[in-house]
Amino acid sequence: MIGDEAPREIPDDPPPILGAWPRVYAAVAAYVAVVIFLFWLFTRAFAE
Amino acid sequence: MRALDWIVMFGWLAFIVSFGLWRGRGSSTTRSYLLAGKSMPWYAMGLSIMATQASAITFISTTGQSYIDGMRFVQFYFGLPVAMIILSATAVPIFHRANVYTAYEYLERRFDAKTRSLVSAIFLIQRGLGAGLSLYAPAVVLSVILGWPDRVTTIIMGVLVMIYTSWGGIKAVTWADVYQMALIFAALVLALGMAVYLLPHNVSFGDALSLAGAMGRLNPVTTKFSWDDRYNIWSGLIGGAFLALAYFGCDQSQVQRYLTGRSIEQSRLSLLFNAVAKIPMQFFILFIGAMVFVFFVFERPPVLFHPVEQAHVEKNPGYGSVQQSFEAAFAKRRDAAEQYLVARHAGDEASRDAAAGRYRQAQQDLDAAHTAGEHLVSREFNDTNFIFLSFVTRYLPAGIVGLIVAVIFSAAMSSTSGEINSLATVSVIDIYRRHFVPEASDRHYVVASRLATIMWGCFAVCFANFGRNFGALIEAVNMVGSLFYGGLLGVFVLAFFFKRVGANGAFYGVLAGEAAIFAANRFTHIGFLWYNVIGCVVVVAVGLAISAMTPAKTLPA
Repeated sequence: MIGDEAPREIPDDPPPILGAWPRVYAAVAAYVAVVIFLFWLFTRAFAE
Repeated sequence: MRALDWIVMFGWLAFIVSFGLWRGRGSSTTRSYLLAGKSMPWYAMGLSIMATQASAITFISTTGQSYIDGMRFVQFYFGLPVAMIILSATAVPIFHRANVYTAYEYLERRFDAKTRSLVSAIFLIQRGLGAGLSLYAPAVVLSVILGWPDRVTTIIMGVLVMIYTSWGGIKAVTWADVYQMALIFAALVLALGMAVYLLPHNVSFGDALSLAGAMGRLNPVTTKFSWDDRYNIWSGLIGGAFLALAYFGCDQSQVQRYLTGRSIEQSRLSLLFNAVAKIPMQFFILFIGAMVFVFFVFERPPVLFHPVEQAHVEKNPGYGSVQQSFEAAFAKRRDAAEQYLVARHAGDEASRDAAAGRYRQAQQDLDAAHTAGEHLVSREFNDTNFIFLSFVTRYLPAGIVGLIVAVIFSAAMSSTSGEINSLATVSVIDIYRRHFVPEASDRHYVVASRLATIMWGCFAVCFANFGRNFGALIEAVNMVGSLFYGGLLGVFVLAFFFKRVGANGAFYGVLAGEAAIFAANRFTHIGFLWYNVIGCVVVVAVGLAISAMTPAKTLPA
């Protein structure tokens, strides 16, 4: 039969930084917003 | 290619195949062969996810696209981090807790067997086509550099990938991807460094930026909305998010990567790593294309970058006048660029603007001559895919050429290995075990998975031989995905978020969603990124409507 090895319980640990996953998601979203804003500035700086 | 290039390229290929075989040893059970025994750390999964997505097409075509059209293609990835956050919060814990081998296995638990089979079939069709296209790209490279038929190079590539993927399963694929991505990062830095270094000595990095910007090549953000425009911030954020949700959440070639994680935390981190790193990486690749453009402002490019077509076209009686126009336009553009820089250094804005006008006019003349050259070729081809390679092979020193060719091989091998591995997994778990041989031994399914890997590898090689019939390769691959991803995403949205929707709603919703996508493709000019949104919305709407008309059913816990 498939899966002869007994499947083990999958732990759901907290993130290594910021204490909770929603805070990590917020940090990633903020980072992306900043990156897009910097790209927009980059576009404006070199647009003729 | 010089001797050192051959040594670097073949040395790398030998290393990666041997390394894959070594890391894949001990994959003797289904769980270890298909899920690496759920032992993978986040960085290995994260790099493997990135490597699977970043095919050779990314390097061949994206740099060329930036040369022609500027950097606005980066907006295609703006929705990706949004998708990664949503998937980290939803799909990752759901799939892990369901303890499944494939995302489609989960659909049977949530809906029924026919929905699982339908979605598995859609995946096998679209990913099978995608695997063929991914393999075709390096065949293009080798046919250009070695003068070999691309059929031969496709077979060589396919066989190398099949060796370590069929032997070591996902563990071999993932660890080989880690090293392949490391090489890719190194080569990208080197390629950009060389593009800037090879500029004329009187052209600074700031000058190069200014020249690229004046020609509209430094345009990573386009805020103007248009349904027809494939790449603007809105299609990127909305359409790109839907595409990324479908690709990373419903495509087994990606789901299988993060199912190998040793914990939910590790799998989430692997996706969030991509959320953070993917956009800067694509920006970097596109920026290389923009710098290659500036390089060719001062160094005369060939009329056609495709060397074989260029050689053919030179024999055409009409080529003389095309070449004359091209050379005149190139000289005009170079002179205008030099005048532009002189005015820029002097701070003379009026002269700079006047020179910029001449610079752009000369570019239009050059584009017209290039198009006239393309029209001299009787068969259809796309020159964009040869721009970066032309720069690499003609101007970079020995060793670096071999390294970049090795990178293109690596990129193709990493995406193809992930694709045929996932195709084999779905074929065995969702089709073969589910419908034909449900009660065989674990060893039987490992052997079946190895054979399925080889079978899909052979299929990819065969399909790759039709790759020449597609236009710009990157858009072809994304296009194939977009025809199917909306439907896939819709059914998973129903599964995760609409508990009342039953099996019939999901099944007929998918069919309706696919019909809507194909109708949009056939009868409208809507950009393909929007197909994912259309498909997903139709699946959810039809699924909800059908469920509203049928009695509620108690869901399994």
